[in-house]
Amino acid sequence: MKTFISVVAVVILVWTFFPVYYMVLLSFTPTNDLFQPGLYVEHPTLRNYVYTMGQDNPFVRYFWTQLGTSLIVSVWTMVGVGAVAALGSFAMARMKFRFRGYVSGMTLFTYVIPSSFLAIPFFKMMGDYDLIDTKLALVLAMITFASPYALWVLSDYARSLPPEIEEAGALDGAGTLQTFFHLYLPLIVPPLIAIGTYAFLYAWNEYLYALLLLTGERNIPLPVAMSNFLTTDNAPWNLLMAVSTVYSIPPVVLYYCFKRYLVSGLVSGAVSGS
Amino acid sequence: MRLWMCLVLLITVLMTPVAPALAADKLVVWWNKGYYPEEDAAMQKIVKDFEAKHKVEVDLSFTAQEDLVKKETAALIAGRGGDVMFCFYNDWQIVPKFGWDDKLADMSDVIKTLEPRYNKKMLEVAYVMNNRLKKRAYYGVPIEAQTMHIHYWRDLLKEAGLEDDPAKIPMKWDDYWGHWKKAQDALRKKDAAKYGKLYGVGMTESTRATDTLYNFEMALLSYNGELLDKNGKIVAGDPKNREAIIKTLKWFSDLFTSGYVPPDATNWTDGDNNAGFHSKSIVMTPNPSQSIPAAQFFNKEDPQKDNYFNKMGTIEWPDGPDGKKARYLSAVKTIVVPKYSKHQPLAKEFIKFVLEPERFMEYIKAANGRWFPAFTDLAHDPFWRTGHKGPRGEKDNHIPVATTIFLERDNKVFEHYKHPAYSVVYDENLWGKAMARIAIEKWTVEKATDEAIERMKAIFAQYK
Repeated sequence: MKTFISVVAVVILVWTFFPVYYMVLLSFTPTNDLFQPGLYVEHPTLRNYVYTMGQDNPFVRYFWTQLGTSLIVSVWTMVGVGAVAALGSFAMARMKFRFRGYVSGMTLFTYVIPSSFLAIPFFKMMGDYDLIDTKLALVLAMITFASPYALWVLSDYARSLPPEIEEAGALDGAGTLQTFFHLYLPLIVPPLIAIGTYAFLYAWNEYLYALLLLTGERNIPLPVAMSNFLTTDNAPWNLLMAVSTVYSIPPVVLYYCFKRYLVSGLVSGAVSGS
Repeated sequence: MRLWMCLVLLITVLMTPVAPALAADKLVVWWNKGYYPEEDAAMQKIVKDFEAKHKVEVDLSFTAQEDLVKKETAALIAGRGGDVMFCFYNDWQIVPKFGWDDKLADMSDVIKTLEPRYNKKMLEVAYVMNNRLKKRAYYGVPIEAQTMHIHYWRDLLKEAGLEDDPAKIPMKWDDYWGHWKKAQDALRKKDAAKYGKLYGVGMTESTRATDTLYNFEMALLSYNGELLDKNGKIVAGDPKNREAIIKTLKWFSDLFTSGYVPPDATNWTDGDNNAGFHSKSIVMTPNPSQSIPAAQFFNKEDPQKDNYFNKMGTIEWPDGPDGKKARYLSAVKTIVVPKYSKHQPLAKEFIKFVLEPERFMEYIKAANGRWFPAFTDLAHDPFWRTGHKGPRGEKDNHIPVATTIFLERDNKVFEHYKHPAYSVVYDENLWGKAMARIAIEKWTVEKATDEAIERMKAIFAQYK
């Protein structure tokens, strides 16, 4: 049985890592060898990374700007989702108001409609506010779609906190906002970091809304820019893979920075009732 | 109080990197990203000249066609976005459908100005029905076209001991296709290790590629079949046409199962036959643009352009099974102006400015002969007859062939202009699906044909 599980684990591992391996492999492959696929590179080259870093190719002319756009949108989405989730979860889990149960239930209901169905209404709405071609439009879209899950996770976690905390604060004269900032916020740091990471990755990998809401090579984030690589009939796959490899580094760094919070944070809501 | 100030500060900081909004007074131009950097540079220069001449600001952006068509669709539905939109998919995805829905500006005045210069055959692509006004008008401005050519490796034919001169390759239907099959047999026999995975015919037959539709309709013309009459009514079900469709699909099926087409051709995208050709895993491939030779022309690994001038050839589609000369289809690329645009007069001025002969010639030449101009004055430029000159004085084997097809052959535009439903038929890749039914699901050709015709009728029935 143990051997069987090991074999299955190895198969899953290979299955999972092979595309990543192949991405890195192609990024080191010279153009002439692109259509002679193999499991290793015979003549590895760093040329694609040099082109990318030096923006020395029409496809990567705005690489750093586009990477910066991805980063700005993702960071502000992370901040926005964190704020919505922290304030919302505090309200839903720690305060009493009419229809609280319904509001809480409605948060996940937003996922009933796929976000792609809402793309055109969202585009129109952002147009009405004159926000098209601004990063704010994309940040707002990302906050809209990432917040419900974040709110759900944090609310469940918040319900698991003992009510004595607020009672102790109240005895010391703390108001609602002081309770939130001085007592509640420090306690939700692990799940807050987890959902912040989730929000960052959500925005980092977004394509459709970025495509619709932002226009122009200097404005678009990197995932949309990468689709331009496929405009030509001879797509520069090795260059595309080099850009993809670089693009996958920030999420990996983020993951390792906050790894210890992620597992405990993401499952914290799930055990609140136990 | 301090907390409130913190909150206000946080909100202010949040707004900082995202504040600038779209300037309403600019002319917003959404342009298809060129296949070559030179195309984009040529358009940027045109825009600068226009800004200087008209003292206006133009916001020009380039987007890949697959993405641009989505942006255009969202903009036309939402009623805001670019003022001038040029996408390689406009001719079949935007003009028929959004012209029908009255979402595009009537460009008849622009066409009237440019009419003396137009190749009349290409003009009708933009003459589509407006269902609200119940009349046809020009809802786009055609500018450039592509048509079908066959590219092949002359050096592979030579190695196979076969005729490689385009003037001497047999043009009769069976002999023509047999030529490439013979090349595969001979090369595999000669060097099984090197050519074991080489195929004679790189025929795209997938549901994913628009090349499939092009291939199907070209073959259907060879079998004298028609899908629509001149008024856009379906005639695919008429006995003569149904028979032609059956023969066409059977021909594709037989070709696929013969072992002379790569087995993954039923899964190819539009770029896969190009990639297969460049890697020399196929001897020939039909391709509806000059993209393959153009890519070799710019091949940095081949500075002497030996592939372009000596090792590759471009040849016409063969005579039909009945011996008649091939008839061709052209896809004519079109600029549109949305009806919502508040800058319609300026947008029209911009289009006329772009299309001024000298200026547009510079732009279209930057595409290296990939597109053929929709204007007769430009088509008469010697470039289209002679093409490029090789470093050792070699003649161009590619661009002049396309010119012959455009100017001297029986050539008509795709028929989606006749009825918007026909562009849905393309969207659904009905004929690619029929090919898959036969090749993969082993349906009979008759059953697959009837299913496709019925689906076509159902699509048309939705447009009342």
